[in-house]
Amino acid sequence: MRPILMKGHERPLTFLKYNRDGDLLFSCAKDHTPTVWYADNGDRLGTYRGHNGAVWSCDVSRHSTRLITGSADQTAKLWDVKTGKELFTFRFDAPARSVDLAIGDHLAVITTDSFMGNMPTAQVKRIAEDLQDQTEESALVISGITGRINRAVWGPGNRTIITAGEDATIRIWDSETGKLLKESDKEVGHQKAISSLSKSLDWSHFLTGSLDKSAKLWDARTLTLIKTYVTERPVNAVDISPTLDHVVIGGGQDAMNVTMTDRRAGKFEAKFFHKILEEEIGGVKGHFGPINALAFNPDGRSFSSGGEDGYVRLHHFDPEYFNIKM
Amino acid sequence: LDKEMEEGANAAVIEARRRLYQEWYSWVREEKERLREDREELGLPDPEEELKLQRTRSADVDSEKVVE
Repeated sequence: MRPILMKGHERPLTFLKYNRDGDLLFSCAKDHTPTVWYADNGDRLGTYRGHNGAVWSCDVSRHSTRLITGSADQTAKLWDVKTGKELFTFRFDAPARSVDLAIGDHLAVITTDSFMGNMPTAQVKRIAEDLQDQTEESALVISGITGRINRAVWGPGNRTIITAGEDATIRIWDSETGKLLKESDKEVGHQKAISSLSKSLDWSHFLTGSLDKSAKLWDARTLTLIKTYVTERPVNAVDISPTLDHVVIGGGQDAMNVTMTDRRAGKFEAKFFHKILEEEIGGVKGHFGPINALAFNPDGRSFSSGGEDGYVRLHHFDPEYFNIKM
Repeated sequence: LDKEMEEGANAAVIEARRRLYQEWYSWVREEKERLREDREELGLPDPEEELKLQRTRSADVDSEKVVE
């Protein structure tokens, strides 16, 4: 499994996202310029130029026509995937952190940080099919959470919105009314900030990563804790394999508090766990800094990691990986 | 005696794993059924079926390669 090293970003990586077909990989970094790569060979296909701050996350529409990005420049932007053209800008009064498109691509949930006395929010925006009809208006604003909301994603059937962040609590909200439906149990839940959240393909469960050095698997409907994966380092990134009962977890130091990165090779490892048995299967070393982003290709045959070191590493699994017996 | 203890320990591990698998698959089956009903109500496609179809399609494309 010789990794492909993708050098294109000048600053730490923040987020990685494959399109549904698994042929394109989108990367976000603190260097203001989201980039798209061929997911097979790691060739750079293009960049999206227009943000004036770190880009924290992105999502791509089902047919890979549109990209949405959230940035510290207090905007979220819509882009034409193919041409790289900026199509629309949503302006906020605080940095935009997390973006997620609903099934159908007609809605997006965008979170904003607490900033200059503003509380953090999760806002729902309508995404118009025709750009002429696109407005900045929010269909729903969820607020009242203290601490940054690091991830907000759509729940099963777009009926709910799941948020997680600095206060270590996961919340499920009604996506129509904005009513709080469920909160994760404080006893069994994360004890420190939740950095990352990834859904299963069928949306029955999702995985969260936390600075408390664990990742946890939750029932997406009842918010019951199902599994816990324990590691030695704060977790910055997680993903669930779309094909096997595996999860991948990566981290290092808190991405926000990195003062010095360790230059010893292989110090930072993406760790694979058996999803059901909660046992560690193995690890992939390589980054010279904490891992901030992880994503499985939708075909389950490769994965990519993004590091504080500014690199994206693309790994195609060896045949042995598919024969692991537990 | 060692062998007996080892076999006993192995059996315990296997039993524990079997239980974990059973719990998981019975939960997943229930949830999948619930989600399927939800999707049908909302007229949404099944993401897992779609991924399977997608794989079949890409396999078809691969087999069409012409070697001259």
